[in-house]
Amino acid sequence: MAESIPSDSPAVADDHHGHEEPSFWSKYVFSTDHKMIAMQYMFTGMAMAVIGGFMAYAFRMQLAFPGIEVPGFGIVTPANYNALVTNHGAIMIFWVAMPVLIAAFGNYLIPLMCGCDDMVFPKLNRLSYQIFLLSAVVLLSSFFVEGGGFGGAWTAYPPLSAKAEYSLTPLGSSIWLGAVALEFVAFLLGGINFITTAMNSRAPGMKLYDIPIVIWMIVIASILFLVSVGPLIAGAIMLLFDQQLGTAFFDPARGGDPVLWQHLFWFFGHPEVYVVLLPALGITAEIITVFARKKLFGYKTVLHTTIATGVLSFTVWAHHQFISGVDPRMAHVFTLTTLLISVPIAEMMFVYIATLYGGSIRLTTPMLWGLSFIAEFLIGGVTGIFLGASGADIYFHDTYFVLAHFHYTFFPIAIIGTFAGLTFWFPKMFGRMMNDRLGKIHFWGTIIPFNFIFIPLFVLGMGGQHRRIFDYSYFPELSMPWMQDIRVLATSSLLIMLGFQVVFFYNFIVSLRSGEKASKNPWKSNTLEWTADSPPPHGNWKELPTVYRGPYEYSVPGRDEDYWPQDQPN
Amino acid sequence: MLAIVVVAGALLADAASACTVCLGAQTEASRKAFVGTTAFLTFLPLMVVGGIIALFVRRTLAQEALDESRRAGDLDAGVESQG
Amino acid sequence: MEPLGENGRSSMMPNGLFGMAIFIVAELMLFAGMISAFFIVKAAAPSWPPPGQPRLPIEATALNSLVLLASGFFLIQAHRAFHRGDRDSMRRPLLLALALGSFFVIFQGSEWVALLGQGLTLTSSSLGSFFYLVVGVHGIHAAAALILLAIATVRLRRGYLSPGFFGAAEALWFFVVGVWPVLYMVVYL
Ligand code: HEM
Ligand SMILES: [Cu+2]
Repeated sequence: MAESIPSDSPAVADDHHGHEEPSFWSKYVFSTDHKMIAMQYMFTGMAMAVIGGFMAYAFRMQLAFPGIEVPGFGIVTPANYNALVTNHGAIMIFWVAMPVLIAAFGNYLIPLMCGCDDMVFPKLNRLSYQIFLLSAVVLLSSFFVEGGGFGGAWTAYPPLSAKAEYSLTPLGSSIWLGAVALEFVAFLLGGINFITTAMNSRAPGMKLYDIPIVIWMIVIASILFLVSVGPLIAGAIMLLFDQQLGTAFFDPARGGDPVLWQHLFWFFGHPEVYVVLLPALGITAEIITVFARKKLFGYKTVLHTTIATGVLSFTVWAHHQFISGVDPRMAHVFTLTTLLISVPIAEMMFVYIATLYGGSIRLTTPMLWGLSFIAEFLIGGVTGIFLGASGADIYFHDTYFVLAHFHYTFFPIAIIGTFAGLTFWFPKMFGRMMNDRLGKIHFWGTIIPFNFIFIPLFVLGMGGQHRRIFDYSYFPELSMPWMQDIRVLATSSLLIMLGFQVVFFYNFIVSLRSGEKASKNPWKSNTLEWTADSPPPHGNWKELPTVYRGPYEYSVPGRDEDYWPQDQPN
Repeated sequence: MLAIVVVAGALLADAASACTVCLGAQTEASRKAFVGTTAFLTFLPLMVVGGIIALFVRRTLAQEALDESRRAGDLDAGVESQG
Repeated sequence: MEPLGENGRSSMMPNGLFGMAIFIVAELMLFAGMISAFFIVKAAAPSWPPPGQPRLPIEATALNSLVLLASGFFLIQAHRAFHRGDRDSMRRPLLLALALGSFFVIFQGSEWVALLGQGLTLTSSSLGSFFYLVVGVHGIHAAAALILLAIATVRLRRGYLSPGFFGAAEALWFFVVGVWPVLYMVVYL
């Protein structure tokens, strides 16, 4: 850090963009260009998504057809199963949702939408990606050490995670923890960059209320992350000490307290869900305004609601511990706050629907993703309210109902949000249009199977099916024929959904090579990134733009065009 | 009003042994410590970040107003020199 | 106030200082997490401090804390001189702050050695675990901040110390000085 801070680098075009052709290494690997770093995060995140998806495939096959030899994987042993489930969760949250939604879109969009030539700390930015890449490699390496990958669930509750005698992964659990810690360091550096750039280095004329919503959401998400991660890092150091140095922070037999870990973990864990939610909400806001050709219904309302959500997200975390023996007086308070936090979220959904109302809607692929985000996330939010009631949660906790709840939140965020953003900004990123027809096939091929995976899991959850069980045939009341049928249904839907991802990769590659050339502003959007070339050169603009108005002036009466870019004087 | 209901509701409840293993080992002192540190961890970030944001927004809005008035001043000057 | 901040951009404070301020908030929460953990474990212990453990050097550390606070005081003087643009009279307080700060860290280190000799180790009791964890993490921050201050001193001498860098370095040191009294009260008393 000492190296990068002094380069108080003004985010203004200056001489460091020399124009000799950079070498392959300095262009693709050691670049400090925010767009290249964004792409690095994006492709690393996608690769990790493929790995995480493969893990889901393996353990879902085991659940539907216990004991079979899974094609491409082999027999899933109980230890395999635990390691797969644990790392699937950790990868999807920390190595897919975070890097793609915050780091990739944040890196790409913040300088472009705020009219800067780069981040304010470009070297810090590069360091952030390098640490992130290292963390991914460290994580994957944990599968190849003695004892295999960590299998104590993504929440890593002690004492299971703290003692090798219990977890049977003497090295895997520490490597896992180290990888998570490295990943946090990477995002800490990234977050500092995002907030400083967006707050401190905007184009002349861009006032606080002229910042596009997606930028606000990424900034607020970064603040939430930075503020909530400290206690978890403290906890992670303590857990690492417990594992490797023989301390007893979480060992009740020697004066420690296992619930303490849950305390520190969920203090981070709940704000974390909003950390990934907010960027996805922001991406959706950009898309629906463009494709409904309407002003965002209540810009300030959305912004203030987001801040309220951020505040409340620090007050609900103990709803994950209702049956961990927390003080019931505390459970009461947390039930109330949990019900409260669904109010701003619901309000945001209404604002989006009101934005759509009366618009001239164009159902392009990004718009379909944006609309489905609203619809699917609603189901996740509503089921969260059931879980937030501490009385009901005593029954639901650790069943597949919880699992289906958070997949109905995380899937819209991590998958739908990413595809929405990627299909929307693809022309800007790569200078070519994506094939809309293939895009729609991929959309329907993903959304329909998704619901057929998780609605059945709600049903199983209400039937009492517990999470984290390797083979239900040991539990007669959980292996009735109808339950097994539902498991097969969910798994087959998963296979269909994974199959349709091939369409996406095919479309991606073909469009990259030979898609129709994209103009500067193919969607007729207002925000600044669309005034740069597609793709933007190093340094983004020859002359940096000046801003004259807010980002959502669509269909303004009295204008010939139905949009009004932010950088046009009139 | 809401605050009163929340506090009253919170105080009415008493130890229900949802989990005998965890709660059995806990004393009143340790439960108080959990409640206290929960409040501490909840309010500390809100106060710190809230304070910073309040300061920040105040400064930014002041500066935006300043910019605005300067720009308006420039415009006036332009008009004057024309007329 | 400049109309539009650095280079026509709407910036509130030097980027380096801004970035460091954000980092410090994150670090503050790290310490808040450790303090919370400490209180929870302490409250659950049947007796505190745990029996059979050496007494922490309360008095010596109190004096050492004064040294740290004095270092912070000198840094304030350096800060004032810097913002008056008076770089010559800034050198002395800056060097004093650096020297007193280094003294604090070295003295803490020697205390550790003594305590280890008396049987307070990372694994001897929860007091030991927390003592080394909390004081150690604080020490790492102190060392990092001192390195930044040392770099600032060198840059001052060479004549290119920027407000952003100096702001970042002193902010981190003020943070290190500022949390220490809290940690002292929590862990030692
Ligand atoms: C209106 C908003 C929400 C409410 C009221 C809510 C409520 C809850 C509650 C009470 C639980 C605990 C259930 C239990 O363990 O018994 C839970 C679990 C969970 N929620 Fe939510 N939630 C909301 C939004 C979200 C969002 C936006 C995400 C993700 C981005 C999310 C992700 C999760 C995860 C991952 C878990 C399970 C953690 C685990 O035990 O592994 N939730 N939710
Ligand atoms: Cu939660």
